[in-house]
Amino acid sequence: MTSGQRSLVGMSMLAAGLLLVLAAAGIAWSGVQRWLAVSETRDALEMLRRDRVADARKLAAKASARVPDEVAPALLALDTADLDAVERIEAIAARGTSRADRETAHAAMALARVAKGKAAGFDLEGSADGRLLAAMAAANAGRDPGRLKPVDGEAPPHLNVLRAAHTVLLRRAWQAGKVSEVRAHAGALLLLRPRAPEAPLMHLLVGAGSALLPDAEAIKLCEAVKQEQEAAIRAVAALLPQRRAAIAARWPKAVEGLP
Amino acid sequence: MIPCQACGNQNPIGTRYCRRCGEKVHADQQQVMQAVQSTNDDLASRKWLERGRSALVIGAFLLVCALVLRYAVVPPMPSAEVPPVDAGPFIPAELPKVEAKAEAAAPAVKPALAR
Repeated sequence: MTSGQRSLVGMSMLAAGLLLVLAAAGIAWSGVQRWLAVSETRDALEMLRRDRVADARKLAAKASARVPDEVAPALLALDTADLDAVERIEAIAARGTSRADRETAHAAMALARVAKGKAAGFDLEGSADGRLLAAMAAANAGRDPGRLKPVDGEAPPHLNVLRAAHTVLLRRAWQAGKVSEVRAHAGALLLLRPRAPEAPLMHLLVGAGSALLPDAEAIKLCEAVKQEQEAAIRAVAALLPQRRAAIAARWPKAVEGLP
Repeated sequence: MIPCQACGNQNPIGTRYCRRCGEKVHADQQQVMQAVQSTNDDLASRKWLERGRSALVIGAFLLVCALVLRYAVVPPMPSAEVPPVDAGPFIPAELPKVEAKAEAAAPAVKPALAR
């Protein structure tokens, strides 16, 4: 090999080496970004479990900016009240590699639409999420949502779909004055999130609705409610006339004007 | 290189006797200059080759490290979760339509297992 040929081969190898270094730097950078995104997404999920929704959304938005094609941070960053943002999730869901992630994205979009009183837009037939959303839609439309029963072999619903469905169905049962249903949905919400801010209210609805609970205990449950206590006690007095005397003795204003 | 006038063998610069036939090697200034130039070119080309080889080895090593980092070290992304929605108040402002009675002893229903 002449010195000219040798130089040419050396320069070519140098160029190839530099290209490899550049490729390695790119892959390493994407790896670091992904690592940070995974960490932020986990933190966001943890915040969501602690009801710090705004903080979780902010952190998930940072993670989503690092890995725009990932469904998990994009969903956590989603403002479900903004239906335009919800529609944009569909494109990300289509790019998602995991089938479970795509289904979760569809459930999230359907839930956001149903919560806004619109059609789900996705065929979630045969899934627990689909049945819950159908019940929510029926309740919102003033129809009978039917009973919620688990089906063998069906994938379990997502926590927030279940929570939203029980919230809507609790409201509907309360409006209809169906104490057993109010207790069932309040009990379900209590089991789903026993430390949630609304947990004392759920305790009150479950306990006060039972004829076995003495009035003194029901009053204690009323006292434990901290969020909008007056409205909650008035609501219980309105739903349960047999508790009104005990409630009136402690909170006379709460029963004023009740039929 | 300096050629031997007797046998034509190419001898390295600075050689006084031919390495093949042993004859004394005579070199004029031009031949020495050419030999120096050729030696310099040779050294430079070997340096390029060395640099290229080093760059290739370093690049390949870094690429393997980056691939290991990206696909073996970075933890997997957690599963997607449906975000919470505002499903409205638990209890509406208006009063219930039907007057209700407390339940005798029916326990609250357990919810289906949630993801």
